[in-house]
Amino acid sequence: MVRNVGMRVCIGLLVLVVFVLAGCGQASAPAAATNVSADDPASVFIGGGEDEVYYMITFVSGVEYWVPVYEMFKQAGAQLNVKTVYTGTPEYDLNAQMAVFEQVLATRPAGIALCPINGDAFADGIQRALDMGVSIMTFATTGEHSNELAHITSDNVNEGYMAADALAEDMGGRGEVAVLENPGQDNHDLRIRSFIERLETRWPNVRVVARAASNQDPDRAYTALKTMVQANPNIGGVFMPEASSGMGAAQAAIELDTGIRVLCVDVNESILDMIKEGKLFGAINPNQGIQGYFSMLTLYLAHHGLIDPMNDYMQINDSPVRFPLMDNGLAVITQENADSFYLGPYLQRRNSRGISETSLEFAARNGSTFIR
Amino acid sequence: MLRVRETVFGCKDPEPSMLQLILGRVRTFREGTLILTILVVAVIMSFLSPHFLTVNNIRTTLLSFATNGIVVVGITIVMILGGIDLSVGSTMALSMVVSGRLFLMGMPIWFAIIFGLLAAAMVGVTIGFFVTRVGLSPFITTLAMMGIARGLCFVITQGTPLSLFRMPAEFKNIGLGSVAGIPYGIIIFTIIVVTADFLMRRSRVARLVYYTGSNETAAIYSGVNTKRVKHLVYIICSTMAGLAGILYMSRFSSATPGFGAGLELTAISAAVIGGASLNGGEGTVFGAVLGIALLAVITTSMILLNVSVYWQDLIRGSILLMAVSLDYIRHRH
Amino acid sequence: MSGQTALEVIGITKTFPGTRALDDVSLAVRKGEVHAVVGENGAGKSTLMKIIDGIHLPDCGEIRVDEQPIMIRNPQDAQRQGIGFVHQEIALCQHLSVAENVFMADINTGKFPLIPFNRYRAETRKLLDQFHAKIDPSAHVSTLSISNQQIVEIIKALSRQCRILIFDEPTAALTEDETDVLFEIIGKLKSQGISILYITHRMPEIFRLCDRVTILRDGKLIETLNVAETNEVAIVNRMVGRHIEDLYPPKDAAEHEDTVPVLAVENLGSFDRFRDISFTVYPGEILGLTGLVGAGRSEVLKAVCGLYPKTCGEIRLQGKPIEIRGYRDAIRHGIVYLTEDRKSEGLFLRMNVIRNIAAMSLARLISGFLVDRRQEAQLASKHVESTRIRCSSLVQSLESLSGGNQQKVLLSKLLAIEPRVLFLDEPTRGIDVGAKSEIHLLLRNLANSGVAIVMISSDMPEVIGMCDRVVVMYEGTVAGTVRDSDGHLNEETLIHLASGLSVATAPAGPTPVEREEREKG
Repeated sequence: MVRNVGMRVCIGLLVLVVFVLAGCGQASAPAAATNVSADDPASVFIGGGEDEVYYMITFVSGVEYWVPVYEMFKQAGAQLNVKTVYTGTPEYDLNAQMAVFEQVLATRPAGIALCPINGDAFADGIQRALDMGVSIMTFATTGEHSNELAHITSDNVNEGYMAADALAEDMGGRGEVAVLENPGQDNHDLRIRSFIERLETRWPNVRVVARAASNQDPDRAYTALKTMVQANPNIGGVFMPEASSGMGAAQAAIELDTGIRVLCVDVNESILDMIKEGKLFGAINPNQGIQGYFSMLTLYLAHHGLIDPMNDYMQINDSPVRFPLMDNGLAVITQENADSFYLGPYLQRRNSRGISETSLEFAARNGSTFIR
Repeated sequence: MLRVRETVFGCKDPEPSMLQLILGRVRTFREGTLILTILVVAVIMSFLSPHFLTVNNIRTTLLSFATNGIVVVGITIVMILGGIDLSVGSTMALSMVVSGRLFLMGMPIWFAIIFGLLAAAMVGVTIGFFVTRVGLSPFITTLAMMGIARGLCFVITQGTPLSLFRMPAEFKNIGLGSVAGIPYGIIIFTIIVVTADFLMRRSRVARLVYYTGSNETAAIYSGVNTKRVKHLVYIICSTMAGLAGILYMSRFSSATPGFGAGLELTAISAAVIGGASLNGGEGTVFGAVLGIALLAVITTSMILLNVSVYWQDLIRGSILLMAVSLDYIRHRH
Repeated sequence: MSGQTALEVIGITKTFPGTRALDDVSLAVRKGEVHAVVGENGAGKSTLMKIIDGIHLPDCGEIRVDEQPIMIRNPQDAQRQGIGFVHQEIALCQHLSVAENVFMADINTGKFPLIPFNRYRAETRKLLDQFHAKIDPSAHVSTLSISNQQIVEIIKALSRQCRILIFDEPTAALTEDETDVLFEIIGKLKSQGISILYITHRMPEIFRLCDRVTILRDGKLIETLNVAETNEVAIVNRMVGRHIEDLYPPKDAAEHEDTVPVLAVENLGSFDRFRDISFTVYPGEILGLTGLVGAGRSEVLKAVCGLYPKTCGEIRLQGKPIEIRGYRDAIRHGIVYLTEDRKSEGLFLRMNVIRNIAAMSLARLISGFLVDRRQEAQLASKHVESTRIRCSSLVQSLESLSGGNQQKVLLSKLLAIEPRVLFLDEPTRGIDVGAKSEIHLLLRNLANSGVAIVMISSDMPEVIGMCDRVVVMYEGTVAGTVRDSDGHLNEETLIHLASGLSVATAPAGPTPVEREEREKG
């Protein structure tokens, strides 16, 4: 089995480089390039078109977070001349998601990029899929991994670290902060834990004086922050691992008017507006498009057997594509760069219909090598 | 137990005096236990935290349940009717999202919120139709409506919270402003509760709700048009939820499709703590409001004491169980 | 009739908070004896039976089975001693099959890892056959009529091979035929040496079935009598503790041929439930409507009120045709219906006396759109007094009232709208003798004040004692009308008509008077 550290580091570095480049591109020249024509050399278009289908399966499938992920999944699909389909369960329901997975599997697609609610629960299904010759890749969630070919996600620990650094730096390295939590969701807990850990190790003069559960509810976040400030009037910043609480906490901070810096993870239009208006200090945003692109690319590599690394994959009859962990990188959104993160304008400039179209439909309108 | 009157043939004096009626009310005053529980929590808290009995904290606590309290009022009336409404959280989000979307499409905000409230009322109309005309159980009907309304929210917003910063200041002021230090949210809530409680105790229509909830067949055999009563109550409940949604929209300047998830359970527990029965026929608006007040006091207390978030649910659940048991034991005979 | 004592209770006392339910009560049941226990509601019959069955524990006293003192702490203990209980309230699992209900105890003790459905069905079939009951053992209980459910309840107790069987008013929901079968079964059980404790309100059953009768009043033992050596009046007087001269109030002597009937119903029909129903009621008259259970009596009255669909027929009030589309139209015309099932269809059990009485009169009690609580209380108070409802307070919840007082509250609710026509469906079912005679007197007074009353009753003595005229129904049609003043109003005539037989002593079909009226109308 290929699980060596070297490969992991390599992939990590590769992704980081890609991210940095993408980040620079976004920051420096938004909407500057023109649409490149579709008639590029056909050398990379070796996919099977309509007959080679790749699925992306999520949960709570209506939320905004997935759209940029699928956007890049779709783009990779268009460039490789394969068909991509977006699906998932509208609710946070493990059983429903497993059923969707089985239904998709029954159509014998070329590959599936899955964001499992719980990785362990899918171990069996993933193994069966691989045995059937369907490539499986997981993305976005953390936790235990099973036998999937590769996993790509944001480093939640790093998110916590970056949040701690950003907040502490702005506070001049001293003061009191609070956290609003959503106990029970792995990646959110991890962000909180690493945030606190970072403060303890690197910013000894910034103390966490209050913790409360807001459970992704803006109203609860609003009440919790106001109450925490009663007991700790010197709170200078508050961190929460998701966006919904951010909206409530920001409103509370405005009303309290004591200069509390509100920092959350993930964004939506309201959060961006608040950041732009200076009502919210900032947000940590994973570079989720990379998850989509590299999921598609990895599945494609696996399906066509395009790599031949020096290891024992032939000897043990395994897939050559084994990337245990890839990091998609992340960005800190502040008043200066907030404009680049609006979903609507992003889809508009890409002439995209988001999650409701396949890669082939997208390519038919925009050309198969769509690059801006 | 207070004994109001003890005669062999009903009443010695044919006309019970107001005093006797008041005494009768005190005897059946379920809310007494709740007020006591809240006071006990408050006294303990004032020793544990110097910040508890401050104007600021009281205002925060009141505001924290004022808007949800409007939903509780609606759900209490439904529960008195012997029904249940699981769709309130979704309906709240729907009214928000409909008004928000219409506003973004260029409609003046005041018209937009009327349509938002209408959308919420339509949820009630639909529930009422399936419950009274088709004859489905309210549990199943509202469970389905919960999904439908939530789904509509996602369809309308495409999953993205609508950012409504451009809303006129006078509308935002409803959620944010205050008069003499009292936020409008609390004032609106108080007006609704006092009116609803008064009407539920005194008005004829509300009495029909109690009759229907207590024994539907007997109500029909007393000439009550129970279908109409039910339909009306579901519409009232959904509209209340819609109103709460509008108030939240005004406060947070955003319309979130996922807003209010899980609110139905909080609202139902508040109503039950306040004396409503899952079997109908019992409960008061005032009691239910005290129920949600107790929940809010417990929540803010734990935040003030900086109780570990991992323990908070456990403690909250235990206190609820105790409050309901205490009430049950006190009123068992 | 001497024999061994099967069950003996000695000096049982039981106190509940606020009341002494039983005070030093002793009772002995012999082997193979049917022993009646009678008393008004609240006399302590049910409490005594619950102590024997282990549901309540006595404060003091002793229970002996086969002359051995034993402790009964719970119903399982009672079952082990061979004591079975047929409850008055039907306590079956509605969504399970008959067989599963009958063998619930077996299933509970888990003799078999899997439920042997075939075996249970076969055994249930055997037990049901004894009853000549046409019940499918695999049918769900919820699909059975109340009387069939009662039979299942009895069979459930019998299935446990008990030596002492307690029946708590088993015939309350049974038809005449089913009652006959039950009595046959009880006779068979008796001949097998099984002792029966039989709680009842119905005097005739005591004389037909029982060997001895124990009378309780206010938690105290009054007397145990040999049935052969006593009579109905003696038992009733001991039950109520005062002397009742006449069981029924005097009747209305007036002739009505020339007056306009308050209500005239003509050729009423409803699909295949009933057809060609015609009857008239005059002011001041009590008209009986009787027949076997299932003859369509309740449906006829409900159809007149708009509570049951009707396909044809005309209704005239004071000679004028009226249209009744729903019950609210009937109420508007002053026609009201008292349901036979007061608990599930009549009362708001968890609400108080005032609110129950005011339920139909709210429209009169409002000022603005609020209910005037002063007027509401006055109204309730007036009726509580006039119908002699015994309650500790007007805000007492109905749950805590006795059956008789609940029935009076229900009646008061109807009377509060000052009706012109009063339809009563089994108005005295399941209430004790004292309250029963109070209601009888009340009804007669109402009739005398000009209210027209139509009363359904399965209790033949009550029909004969109360009604001025009786319409007998048979399978959805009017089998005949009997007038008290003609001297034919007796049990024999009524039973003949109700069974679909023509009657030699009474004119078959409508009387000439009725025909005349029909032509007049």
